[in-house]
Amino acid sequence: MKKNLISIFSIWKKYKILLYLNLTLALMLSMGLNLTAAGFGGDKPVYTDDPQQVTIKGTVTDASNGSALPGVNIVVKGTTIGTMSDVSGNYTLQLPSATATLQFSFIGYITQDIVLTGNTTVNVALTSNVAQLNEVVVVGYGTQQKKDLTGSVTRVASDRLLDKPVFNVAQAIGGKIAGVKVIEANGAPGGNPMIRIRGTNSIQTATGGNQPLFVVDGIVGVSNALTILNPNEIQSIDVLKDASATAIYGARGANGVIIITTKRGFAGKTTVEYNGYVTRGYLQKHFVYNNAEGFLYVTQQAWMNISKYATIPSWSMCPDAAIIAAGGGTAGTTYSDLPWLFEQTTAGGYSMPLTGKDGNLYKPRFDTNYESLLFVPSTSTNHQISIRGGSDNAKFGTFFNYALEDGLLLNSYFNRFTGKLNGDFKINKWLNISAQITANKNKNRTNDVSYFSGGISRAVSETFPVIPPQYPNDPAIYKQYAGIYGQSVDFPVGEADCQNAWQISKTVETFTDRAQFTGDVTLNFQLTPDLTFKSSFAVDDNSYKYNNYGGRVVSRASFGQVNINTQNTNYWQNEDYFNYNKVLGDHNITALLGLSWSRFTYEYLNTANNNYFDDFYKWHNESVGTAPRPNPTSSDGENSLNSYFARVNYGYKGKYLATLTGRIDGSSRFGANTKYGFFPSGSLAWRMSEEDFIKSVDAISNLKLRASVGQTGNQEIGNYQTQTFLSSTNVTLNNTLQPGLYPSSVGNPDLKWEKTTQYDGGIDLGLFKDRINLALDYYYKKTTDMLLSVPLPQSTTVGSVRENFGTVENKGFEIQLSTHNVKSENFNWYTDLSWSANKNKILKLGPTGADILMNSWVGGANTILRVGQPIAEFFGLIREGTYSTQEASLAAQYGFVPGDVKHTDVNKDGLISYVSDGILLGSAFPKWDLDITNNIDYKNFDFSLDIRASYGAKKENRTNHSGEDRQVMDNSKNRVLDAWRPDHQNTMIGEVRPGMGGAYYQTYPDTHWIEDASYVRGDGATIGYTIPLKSLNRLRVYFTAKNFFVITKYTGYDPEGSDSDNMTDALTPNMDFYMYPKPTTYTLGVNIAF
Amino acid sequence: MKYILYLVLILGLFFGSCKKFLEEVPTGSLTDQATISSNPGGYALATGAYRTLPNWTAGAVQWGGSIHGSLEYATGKAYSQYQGSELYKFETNVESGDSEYFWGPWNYWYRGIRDCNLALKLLPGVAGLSDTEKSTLIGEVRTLRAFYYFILVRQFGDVVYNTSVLTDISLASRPRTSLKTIYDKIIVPDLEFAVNESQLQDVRSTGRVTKHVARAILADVYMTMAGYPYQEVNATADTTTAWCVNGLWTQTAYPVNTQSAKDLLAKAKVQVDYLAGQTMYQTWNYSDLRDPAQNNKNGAIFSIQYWTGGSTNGMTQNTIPLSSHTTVYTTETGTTIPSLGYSSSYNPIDARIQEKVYFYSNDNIASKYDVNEPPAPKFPLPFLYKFYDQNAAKVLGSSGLNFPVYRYAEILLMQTEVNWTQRQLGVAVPDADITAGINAIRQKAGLPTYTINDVTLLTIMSERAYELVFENKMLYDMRRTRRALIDGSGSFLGIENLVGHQPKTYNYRFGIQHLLNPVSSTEIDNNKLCLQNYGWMPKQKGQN
Repeated sequence: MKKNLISIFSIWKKYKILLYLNLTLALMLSMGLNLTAAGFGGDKPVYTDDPQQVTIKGTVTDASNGSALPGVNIVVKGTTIGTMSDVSGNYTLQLPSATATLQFSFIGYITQDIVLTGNTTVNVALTSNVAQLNEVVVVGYGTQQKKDLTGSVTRVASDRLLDKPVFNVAQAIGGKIAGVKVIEANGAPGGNPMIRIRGTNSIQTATGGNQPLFVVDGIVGVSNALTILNPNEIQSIDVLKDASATAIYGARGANGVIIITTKRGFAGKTTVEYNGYVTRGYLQKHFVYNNAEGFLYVTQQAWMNISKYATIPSWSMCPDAAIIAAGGGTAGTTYSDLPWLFEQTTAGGYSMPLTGKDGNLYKPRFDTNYESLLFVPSTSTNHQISIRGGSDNAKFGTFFNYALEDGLLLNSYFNRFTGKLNGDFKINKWLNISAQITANKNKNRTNDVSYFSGGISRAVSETFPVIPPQYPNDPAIYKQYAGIYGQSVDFPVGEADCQNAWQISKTVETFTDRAQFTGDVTLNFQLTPDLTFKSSFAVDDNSYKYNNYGGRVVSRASFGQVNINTQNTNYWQNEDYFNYNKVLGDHNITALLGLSWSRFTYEYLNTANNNYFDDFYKWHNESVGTAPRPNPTSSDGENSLNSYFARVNYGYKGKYLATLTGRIDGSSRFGANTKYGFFPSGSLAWRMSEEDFIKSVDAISNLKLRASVGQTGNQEIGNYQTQTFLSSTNVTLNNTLQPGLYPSSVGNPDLKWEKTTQYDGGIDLGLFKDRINLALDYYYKKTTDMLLSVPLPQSTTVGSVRENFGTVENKGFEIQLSTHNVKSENFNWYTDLSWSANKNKILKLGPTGADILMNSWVGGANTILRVGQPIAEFFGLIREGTYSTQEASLAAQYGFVPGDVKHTDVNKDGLISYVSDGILLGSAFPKWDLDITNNIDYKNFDFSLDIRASYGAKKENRTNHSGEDRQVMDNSKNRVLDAWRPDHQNTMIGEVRPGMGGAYYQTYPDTHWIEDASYVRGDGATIGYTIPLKSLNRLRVYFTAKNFFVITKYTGYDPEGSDSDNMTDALTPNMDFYMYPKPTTYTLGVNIAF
Repeated sequence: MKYILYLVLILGLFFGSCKKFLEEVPTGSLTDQATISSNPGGYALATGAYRTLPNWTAGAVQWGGSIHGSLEYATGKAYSQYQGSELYKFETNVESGDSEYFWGPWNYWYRGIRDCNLALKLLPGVAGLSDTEKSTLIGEVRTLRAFYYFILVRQFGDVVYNTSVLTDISLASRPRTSLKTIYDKIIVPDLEFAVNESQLQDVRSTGRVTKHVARAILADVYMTMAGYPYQEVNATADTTTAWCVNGLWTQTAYPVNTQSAKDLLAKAKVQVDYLAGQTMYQTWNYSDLRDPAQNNKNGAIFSIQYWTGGSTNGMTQNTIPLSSHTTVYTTETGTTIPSLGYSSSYNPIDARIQEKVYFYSNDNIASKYDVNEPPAPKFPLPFLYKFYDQNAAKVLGSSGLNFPVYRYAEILLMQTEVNWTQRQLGVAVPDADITAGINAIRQKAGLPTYTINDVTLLTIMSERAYELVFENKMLYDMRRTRRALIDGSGSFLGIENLVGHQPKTYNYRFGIQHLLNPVSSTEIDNNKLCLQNYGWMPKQKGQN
């Protein structure tokens, strides 16, 4: 904690202004608070001509500030008679009789029933859902009033989702909930973000084994919830964080649970809503690499150094023997030999003399900026229509969405069509049926290649800038190159493999088509007034098809390569449970008892072919390829869960609250003797504000202490891990393939759940009639029996076995603060702040406690798992700088010369050995995260500003490997201009040398690759205006800017994320080898309701 | 309340049998519970034991590096143009067990051993195999297991003893066993079984191990055992780690004059003479080595099998000059080149040093870069052409050329060596038995034949160097004889003690540590009972 406080102060110094702003708010807030009282009017009934007709009228206002609420649904219960409040909140309703119950409902507000007592003017003040105390939150298999909660559950309600553009769920919750860390992989459309709730529990579970469980409308573990769910359909998102809340999901609850509830129909006048926006995205930051001039300078310098760094130089690559006096070749190609790239100039015509064999001076014809060619502003759109309505006995909702998320990279996008229909039917007194079907179709186009790491972003940075994307079609000048794509090899000094980003974008095509169908039917039996029984059946059916073609040139020696794969998955669940709810005097009991069955199956097919004679066919006609052996692969599998669960909530006088939860989960993934696991939890809460001694304190409107303990599990290890397999392979024997069997795994029949025990203590505090709401939580989590792939000797085993071994702890602190700073009819100002810090530590690892080196890449392991250290810790050497001329003899001891990079010989054994001299270089996760959102409503205007800060994370800038540590093989970053020279020896960058000239160079993950990834980000800013129109219930237009500034020391595109869509490594974010940039976006949007 | 009755009924259904619901039945892979009884299943078990062999020419994590190339680099007679492959670390003595050049072979060949152990466990029970087939397949697999162990002991000295399928992982960690035991208890019995007892045939067209293969390996094993370090540890207690871990070694004359050495050589001679007499191998050409059409033909006895539709051979690509733009390969790294001192030591009239036999200095630009395919600039030194698969380099970008492990030319040289060595140790051997093999090789190379007095350790080892250049023989020759060839011009200058020899490309002299390779660092990490070799890093915690 002390450290955290210190860091607060240090960041405060840095970003004083922002914090100052919020402190001011707090001061203003303590001045004048006023609360608008709401009540009913007192007029006598007015009878119309028709003696049976009664006209009721009134005004609907917001209870918190008295402002008019337009668009409120008003319906006579049990009938289809209804109306809606107008722009001024007024309504008029004709009733057949004066005895009726009116129901007032409005999104984001608590529905109110008013029994008519003869008054004809009925004014109603609706209380916002956001008002904490009466807020209903969704917990597993039910709902609960927030005041009765004993666990840690945080909700994001729909009004937060609607008012600004979010494309997916991850964007909706990012930063909003203390303890929930969302890291968007990068700026590629359709990417899968990493979500961590209260830290990383586990080390080597399958991909996604640390992701929270998603429950969408009761479907547990729904697939792709992050990418394909339409945020506009969402009514609320509830995040269950502590074990008391998550234990009801037992074996899948250890990483936290995100429950998403979508909107449904309601009784009342049919409402049509339209929400739409257009977004324009721009590069937020530029990646600074060399232009033609810098590149040619580095090339010349490098070739001059060749004899110093190469034993036997490559012979022919020198652009000009005359310039490269020291060594280099004599048969080299020179500028005069490359008329398609260089043209003659006069003395002084170019900043450096490029002399050809013919003695003339040359200058480059092209200076291509590939970044501006490939990353172009994008235009995204989103249109959503919902139609909802119904009567008491039948309610319906239909939803349609078309969304296009366009990427900055040419030809990259993600589009989504969703349609959804739900209905709630009252069949008779004791039976309700709810049903829902959703269809989702989406397409992701990526314009990237997997043929070399780093993909197209790398090609953007590394294609030689002297190469044109495509040569002008003028054979007189460009000879055989006229009209064709340029390639780095046209200037033959680098690696033949370096591909022109533009050519990649034109000849590579990748589409992923997904279709998802989910549906569920729930029967709700009212057995007695206190007892209900629910039986539900749900299906989640997914298919995708991946179509990929890599062009003849860019697919390396494959000469055109097609990969087509397809997968179908099906998940079904059946859940049956009783809910019991009884109030007996001061005692309030609710209980839940149920069971569930579920099964997940998948089938997968992949085909690959290569050797295409022309790029025309792409993936459309796979059989055109003539690979010696086209390669089909297929697989399938299934896993099942069988569970029994129970929960009891007990409350005494609303003061003393207790919850007990237990779940028994049986999973097919575990050994025969260990299939079932039991996951209990218990929690207590004390609503001190209900005690007389607090009640007398006016300032305190709510005070609750919470404590919980419980166990949850993790089963994400993939199927079939308990068995020992004999795999098969195809072995080449005399130009044929023969089947071969071999031992491929060591099974572990005793494999069981990974268990996480979590303790949580929290305080909920409401001050000044809930003008200030604060929730503080401290938690301690310990994961034991971790599902670890324990390394074994290769001499006797396949190298690893899955065991329950190892312990990881997470502890952290969360602050969730909401304040209503200014409250008046025309001006309201709210601030929401969430701050969280998590500390992760490996307590036990493998039987020997040996380090586990991870993410082997150029130079060696990039991350390490070590007892006593956090997960996702970077590893590498210490780069001291470069050897100076004075240090020649020291350099020689290590086999180096002045100008070489100098690493520390940590163990002083006289060798620079990567593993033995490597040290820990910091964590990829931050020490703390902060998000401050200010919302201001002024008359019909609304403003919001969302600032996010993250402190203490490191990021590995792997681009230093190919962009800095070696030169001329590809284009470099322009930081290489700072490299060692005899007259410039105090630098981190070794003397430039041509990698493809036979020069050695050092490239290892080291301190120079690790950068501070702390940041302050302008995450979002919105200004909206609601146009008061009689004819429409709501018409709001808004303008939003997102990611509009980032203050960071990180030198790459973005301080957060990785280069790969699904994170390079499931445990470690922030490994950057040319990540796809995240855009700054500007959005114009409209919300309409009528 | 009828519906309650229905509910109870429905619930009853759900609460029914659930054990089966959670059963896992894998569909894509056999488990160890499966019974393999069919004839093809039996063959598949034996075939699995071959799957690791193609890794012989596999690349490494370090770009352009290869397992094959690193074995030549360790002799001091290789050169790499592209330096990112970190082969230069051999030149400056900064290699360690962290390098893939050491953990790669350790892991690959132990993988082969585990594959063999599984096959040997299950083959006897395969009902669909006749006794003859079982005997043949067990012969194949035991030959392969012996071969894998033979590689391991020559690279690492004492290694971990493992001849069964491990079922109890608590027994996974174990100390290294004396190389003497590995030879005596595994390598020799496996091969002697294959040669003397198994029903292995000699049909090589299937690409499988033949009895000739077992004989060739056995001959090599005997000859190696007659040299170092077997003869050294033979005199000491079996369990000693004396020379591997503690670096205690001796350098006596070569050949080693012991009864054991004489006995082994006599046994080697039997196999070598047998193979040398096989007419099926006697028609062979240098160009066979780079022509996939000659796979498993002519002089080929034991080859690693490649095919463009399956496992492909990395040799062609690794030998292409750096960025020469002479091939369709997208990376041309020049990482496997005989050093200039090596190629200069050939007699200029030697057929093998002539352009485009074993070496080349000229090629044309590939059509990918220039449709006219003009000549590329002359290379700065002769590059290896021996394994240059023309079609792979110019058209396909992948090579299905076999890699020779034992071929007839080597048998001829072994014949000369075994007879010469026997004579050195006092066994009466006719002159012709010594000169016949080496002269057959020299005649083919267009070189003058030797008389008996010309045949010395220097000329035998030189001839092996000329003929078997970059067939991964030299490192083992250096270690079993503890002698190294000194580069010269037109011939090798001489042969000297390995310890103290300084290759021209190195900045240090070979020391005791270079008699062995460092043990894989992952084995050191995960097997706490496994000690590191003398002088190498990383060491076991607490190891001196």
